Amino acid sequence: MKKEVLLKRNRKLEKTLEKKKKIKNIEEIIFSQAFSIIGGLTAGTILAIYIDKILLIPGLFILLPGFLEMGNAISGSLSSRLSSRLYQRKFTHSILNQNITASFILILISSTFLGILAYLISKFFFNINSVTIIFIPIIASIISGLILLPLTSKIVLWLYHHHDDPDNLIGASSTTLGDIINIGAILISIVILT
Amino acid sequence: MKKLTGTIIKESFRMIILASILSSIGGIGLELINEKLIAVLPLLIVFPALNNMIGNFGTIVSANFTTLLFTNQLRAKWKSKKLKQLLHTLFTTAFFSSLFLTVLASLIAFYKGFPLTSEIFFKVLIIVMICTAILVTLISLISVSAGFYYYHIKQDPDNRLIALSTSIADLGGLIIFSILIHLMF
Repeated sequence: MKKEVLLKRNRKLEKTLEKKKKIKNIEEIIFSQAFSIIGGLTAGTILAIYIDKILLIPGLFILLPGFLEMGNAISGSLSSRLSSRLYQRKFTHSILNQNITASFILILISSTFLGILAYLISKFFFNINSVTIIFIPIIASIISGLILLPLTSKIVLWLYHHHDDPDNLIGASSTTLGDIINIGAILISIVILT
Repeated sequence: MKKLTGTIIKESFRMIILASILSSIGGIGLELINEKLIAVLPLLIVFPALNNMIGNFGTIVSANFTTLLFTNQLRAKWKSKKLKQLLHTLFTTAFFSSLFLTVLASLIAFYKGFPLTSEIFFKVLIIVMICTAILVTLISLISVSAGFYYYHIKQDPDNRLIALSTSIADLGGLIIFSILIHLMF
């Protein structure tokens, strides 16, 4: 009889804990999305303010989504990999350094590819012949890679050590920072190249 | 070059390049409607945030899903309770996030001097809601299927899933966003 009561109590406790975990999960996702939206809106506002600079480079709208996507994909993968290693308790400084190096090399290679692709698309689809579009993502990726990758790693470590679930927050923090830093980096490279 | 660096580059490279190609294709859509995008300020302000938000949902699905896989809470099954919980949470937050995004973008545009009307506000809201609903469904389906597949062939889903889900979000988002702007403005 006592055993049954105890079992019932345990089940009730488990259900309450699960509910609390679910609410915490929703709270974390909403918080992370709010953070991400505010970051995106900041990037959008910067874009709206400096639209005259963006229009200096014809065809930049072709490059822009690809560049933002590439930065977010690479920093998102970096944070997800680091978070998985942290959970598996296989995280070391060597793993961190190798992850950052790999991400930086990936950013450089893919931005070069992206620049060439944007040039070809703008030349063949829109009849725009501007070689500058090749160099903009390369310079912007060096600027953003040097800032974004170490910052993303630090944020993942900080979130993990502060007992928050990094999985719900890393996406938001990396894409938010990524968008603001990447749009800033593109504007700086436009200023350098024009 | 150390072994891990090489493995990460090797496993991620193709997916990143594919993601860049897909996003550039989406960029063509954006270039085609760029005049409307520049003219209707809330749309220009909302574009990076919407992209961000949908991509972020992709990252949340992938990161949560891989953690559930690696901690043996899914056992590689679709009908898992944890997976259902994750999807339910995702759709609830998607609805409120798109509402929040549209209101904020419209307010910023209004304070920047854009003559905002209720008609424009509702048009932007419809665009954001439709984009989010379609893409969150698509991202969830593809991320979970691909995640199970990579897990079965013993490859790390972390190296591919985020790039895959964010590129679906970007390409799909830009195409749907461009079509809806073309139709509604």
